Amino acid sequence: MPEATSTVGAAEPDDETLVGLARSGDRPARDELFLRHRGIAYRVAYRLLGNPHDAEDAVQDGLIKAFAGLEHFDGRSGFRTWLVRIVSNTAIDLGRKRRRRNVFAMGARSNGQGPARGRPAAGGTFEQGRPEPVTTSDPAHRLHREDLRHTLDLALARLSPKLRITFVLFAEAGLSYKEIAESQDVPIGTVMSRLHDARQKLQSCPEIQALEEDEAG
Amino acid sequence: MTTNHSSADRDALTRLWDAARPVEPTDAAWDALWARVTDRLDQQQPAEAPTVLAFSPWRRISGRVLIAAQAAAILMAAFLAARHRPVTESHAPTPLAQIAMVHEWDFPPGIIPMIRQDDKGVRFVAFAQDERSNALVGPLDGNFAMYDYMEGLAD
Repeated sequence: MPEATSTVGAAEPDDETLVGLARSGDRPARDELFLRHRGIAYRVAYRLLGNPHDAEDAVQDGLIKAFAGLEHFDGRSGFRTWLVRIVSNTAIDLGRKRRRRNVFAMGARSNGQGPARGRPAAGGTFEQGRPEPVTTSDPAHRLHREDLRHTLDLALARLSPKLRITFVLFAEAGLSYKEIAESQDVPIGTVMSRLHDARQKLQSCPEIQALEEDEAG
Repeated sequence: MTTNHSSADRDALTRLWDAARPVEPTDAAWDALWARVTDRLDQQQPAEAPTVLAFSPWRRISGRVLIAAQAAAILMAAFLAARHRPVTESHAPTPLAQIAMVHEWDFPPGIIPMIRQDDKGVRFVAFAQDERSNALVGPLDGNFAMYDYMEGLAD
């Protein structure tokens, strides 16, 4: 189990060095790569899926894919970019699958069958579920953050998967246009266009407009 | 949020984005997740190991030696079998020209000659025909039928 701090040494080797060590079976190097990049991987997955359980599943599957295919990492982009790309694509795939699953579940509920409540549907059709784990001690602050997060989840869910992943990779992961273009296999102009569309749609979301009105009032 | 927006709308979106930053899993949850990942990775490695070993140089060489040994054994067995095979094998068909040279018969009426190949080789057999029913009786030995006919002529 990895410690909360680096297990490799005080010299702080860069990611490429760690990848080389991990390829040769060095477990501490693999642990260190996980510790360094798990946070960004989780936040991207969460922004794309809108709930913590699905985000954890996407991170887990993405990490397995990444470390099992470490020999395919060519070093053109950084390991962080490469991992985020894998996790985001995994999250989108997971979102599609679970959206289909939730459509069936909702159909069953309408017939009086199945569970009464489930996770928010990922990939575009959120149910009325809300993000779950919040560790803030102040209850009022916690509720406020939950509301904000829920508002943003609903707004993101209104975006198409292409717009959503482009916006999340830019806004959350901090990838450049070029890196997003490579990860999505589209021209840079398409990335810029998608970012513009995503912003327009997010700003026109009724949830965000209502929030702005509340703040103004 | 890493964007740098100028308009009020974008600022609101940026504020919302930052304020709604997802809370990461607890350390225990991360540990459990990483344990599952490493378990899966460790399971995948032994499954892939035989594939890697199957194409290792030593495996390749030993496989080639085994195939060569089998081929040599088969060739040796075929060679020995050919050397010790009898010149006139009972199963081998006798050439028709050779039969014609050894046996020249005039068949009497009522005898239907047939050439039969069985485990003793190619033989001449004859069927006698019953005069009343015209049914074939036999098979008779070809020599017997011929001697029987000759005796009849002598009488």
